[in-house]
Amino acid sequence: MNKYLLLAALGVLLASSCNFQREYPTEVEGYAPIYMTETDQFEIRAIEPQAYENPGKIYKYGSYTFQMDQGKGIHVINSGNPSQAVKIKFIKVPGVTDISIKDNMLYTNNFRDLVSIDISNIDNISVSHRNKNVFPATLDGAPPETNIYFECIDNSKGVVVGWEKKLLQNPKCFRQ
Amino acid sequence: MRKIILVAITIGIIGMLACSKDSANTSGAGFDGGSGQGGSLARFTVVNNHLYTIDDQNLSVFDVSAADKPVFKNRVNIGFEIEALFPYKDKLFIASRNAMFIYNISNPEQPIQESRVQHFTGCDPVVVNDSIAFLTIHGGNACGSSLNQLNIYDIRDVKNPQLMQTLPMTNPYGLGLKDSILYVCDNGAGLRLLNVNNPVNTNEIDILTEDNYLDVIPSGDLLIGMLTDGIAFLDISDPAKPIKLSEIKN
Repeated sequence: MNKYLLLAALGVLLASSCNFQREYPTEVEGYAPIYMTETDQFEIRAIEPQAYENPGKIYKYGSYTFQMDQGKGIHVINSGNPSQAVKIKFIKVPGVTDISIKDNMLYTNNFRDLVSIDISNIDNISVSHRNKNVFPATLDGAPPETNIYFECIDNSKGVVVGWEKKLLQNPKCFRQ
Repeated sequence: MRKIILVAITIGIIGMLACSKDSANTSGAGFDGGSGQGGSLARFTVVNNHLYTIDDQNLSVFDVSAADKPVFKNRVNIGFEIEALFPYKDKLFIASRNAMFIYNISNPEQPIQESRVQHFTGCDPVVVNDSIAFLTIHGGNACGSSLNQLNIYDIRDVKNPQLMQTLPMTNPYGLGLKDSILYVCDNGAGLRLLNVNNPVNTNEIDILTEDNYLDVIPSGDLLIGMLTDGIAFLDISDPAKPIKLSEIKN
């Protein structure tokens, strides 16, 4: 009797599971690994404006607007005249996903660290403080979300320092 | 065995609310101090002298009264798949994949959970004012199933929100509110303009299809749009008639 119950349960499980005979889509939202050399992981500095790679979240501060480039850094846009908004700098912050600003101090995440960047002189920004390892490691060889497609890791490309959510073409990995 | 729907969470920001936070730096040519204004997808927010951050499972609190030296103060386990947070008065609205949490931060370093609102398969962002919360829910289709909609809740009793209306969407992400116009970034469809003057009878008055919006920040007469391919600045001195002022896409 128990055997039949088990079989029935298994049948329901299979019927309701999307893992059964999974078909990988040609295009789907999921995660792609971000690769980096170890020494580049904690380098934060302002450089000339950069083209968008993966435009992310936005933040308004006075007459400036900041826009994350996911995992790469922060575009600094002068939007004081919004009819002629223009990029003026790019702050390299590996692993960045979020910022918040108070009194010219920009708080952001550099992988597991909370970093405070003094932006009172945008031409000469400096890291004021670093709270080490206050954010959890999200890296366990799989993207930080379940039931999601991801681009398989290619170790020849370097250390995986994070994951970015994006539209994937022909992903061949899936985290259950 | 439950079908999983990929739901991301956005907490929307009310223009009026954000403006009050932003009042210290509405003019001037440079960085004037005060705190800024994030979009509805934000995971970091400064409230007075504290920085709140969320990761997948936790809410962390940092004392930033000395702005150049944040001091870690507390970490509160919230749940799983936390996606966004949104400060409103003495509360933090925290959205996870399947619930919205309301935390009281009257004691800034000791957030206390006031309520937890479960949503069927998933919850998303919230734009909140004193009485209404707007939530977008977007589904992926990992299991061939998806849910994409805007939910409107009566939150006058924050411990017992009531669903007032549901509107179907394509794939909605961030949202923002100015006066009675709610902007919903409906990925793949456009920027929807909804009149929420009477929330139980919310209706769409326009949709801008030229760009693909994922989030917006309404700030006074300016609407800043996060686009899949860059950023756009729009004039919303008439909130129902946005006029694009400029864009950057390279």
